[in-house]
Amino acid sequence: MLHFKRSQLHFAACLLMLSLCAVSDSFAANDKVKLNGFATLGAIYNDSDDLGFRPNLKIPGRTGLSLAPDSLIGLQANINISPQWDAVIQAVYRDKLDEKAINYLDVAFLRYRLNNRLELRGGRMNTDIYFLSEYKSVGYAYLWARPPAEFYSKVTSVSQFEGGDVLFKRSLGDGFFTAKLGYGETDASIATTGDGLDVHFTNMLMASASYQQNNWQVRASFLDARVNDFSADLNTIDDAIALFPPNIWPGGPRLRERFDFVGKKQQFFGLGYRFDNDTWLVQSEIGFINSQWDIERDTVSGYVSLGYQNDGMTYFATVSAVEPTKNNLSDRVGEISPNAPAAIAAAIQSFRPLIREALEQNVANQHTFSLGVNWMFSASLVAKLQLDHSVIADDDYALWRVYNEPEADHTVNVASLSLNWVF
Amino acid sequence: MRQCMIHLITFFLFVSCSYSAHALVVVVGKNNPVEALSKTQVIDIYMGRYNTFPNGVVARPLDRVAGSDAKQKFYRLLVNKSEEKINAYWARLLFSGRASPPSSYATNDEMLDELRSSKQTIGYVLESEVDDSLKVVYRFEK
Repeated sequence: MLHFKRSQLHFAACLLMLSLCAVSDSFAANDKVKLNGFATLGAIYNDSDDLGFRPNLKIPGRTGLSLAPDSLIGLQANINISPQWDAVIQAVYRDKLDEKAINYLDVAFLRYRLNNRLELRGGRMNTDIYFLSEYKSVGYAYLWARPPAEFYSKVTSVSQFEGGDVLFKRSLGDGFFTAKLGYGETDASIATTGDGLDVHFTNMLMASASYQQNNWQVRASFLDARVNDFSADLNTIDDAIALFPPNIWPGGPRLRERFDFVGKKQQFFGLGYRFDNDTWLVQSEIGFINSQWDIERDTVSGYVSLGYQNDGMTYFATVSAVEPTKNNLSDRVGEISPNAPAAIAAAIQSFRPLIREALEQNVANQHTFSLGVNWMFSASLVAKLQLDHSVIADDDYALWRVYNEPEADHTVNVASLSLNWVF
Repeated sequence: MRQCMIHLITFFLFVSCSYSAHALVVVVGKNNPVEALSKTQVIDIYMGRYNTFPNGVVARPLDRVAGSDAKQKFYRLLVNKSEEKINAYWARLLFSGRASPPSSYATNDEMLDELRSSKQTIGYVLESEVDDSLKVVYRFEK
């Protein structure tokens, strides 16, 4: 487990969340507090015995028939303190790797409205870097059984943050423009192909802009975060390098630096477009991850979804994909002194397969075809049926929990049926 | 012939008055200083973009009963969206913490009482429901 050096910012955010809970309780007796909720009862059937399906990296992978990945319940309190001040607390109970009680609070922030165009917030908030970033748990509010994993899965590790942001909004022409700038940090428990890991991101800088007219919306976003701590240790590499002094293996410290994570930047750039004229619905996003850390590969991901709406039913098809953009990472061990004995040099060279394995363990390269129907059963209930066919290239299973190593170019089918409420 | 013309004119007047009586208008309480709003300003308030009137006073939009003809007609006229779409839109805004949906009431009478009693409320009613306690701030183009 990690022993995080909690920063003052993180500590202050936790205090703020607890105090907001107290405020919510004391206001609950009057109309200054509005309570609302949402829930999803979702079943999946994953036809793979080897690869566990998960909607994103924060949720345990499941095979066969399971209610766990998609089912959840959320409660939200909107607390109006004054015309300028309000607070929002949202708790979501669902299956996830991180079971710390405080982290069942998805959102807990205090907001100050400076005027009609400017809002400031502090606390724990959703990171506004993609279309569904602020309501991804509310199945009622979007088309699919869940957000496409190829695009949403990896960025979910930074889906919340503790800190502050400022929102600017104004009517512009026939539409409405918003821009947001935020800064903070976050902890996340995420899974790779194996067990869960804890990661701590600091210096998170977020910016997003969106313009919406009646039938369409475009958005662009940027996120820059620094890895501050990671629960995977580098002891194996440290032990190996320690066996060989730098005068024998000058490339050793450089190799250590490649695998070290502290201070390494992760950047995300996203673009999105949505069109909805009550008959046709088109939504698409594309995202780029730029990583300074070789273990987390640069990737491009995206999806296109087309829906046809008729009489409360929406029939939809989606294609989504993710693939690495930096494919030729070197597995060389680096410089070995020419004076090193042949046996020592051979021993150092024997690390190459281990380096290659480490570089390949977190690669996502797959695409998914989805067909489904979304049925607005009543004003507060939506039912969804969705079939996903995923084709995974080589052995790049980073979006799945690997229980048994399957053959290369594996395909997986996942069927999902869910009921989604708001109340 | 003359009598026939009078009947025809009477009929058209009746149809016209009837249409007008069933037309939707956006209203505020008589004590609200707002005199008129543009369609964009009504959209800004009802779609959760701004939470104040143009003069800076907090605006509290009220909705008619869910599923009612008036509510469905209002959102068609305002943003050309079905009530289902409006519900999904508000689920997104509410649970993203951006804004709360207009207050809704079990009966239209309760909504009208609230509309008349507060300076901050804004609502939409049939033209025939407008009385001295209400002030029309926007009329949809026919």
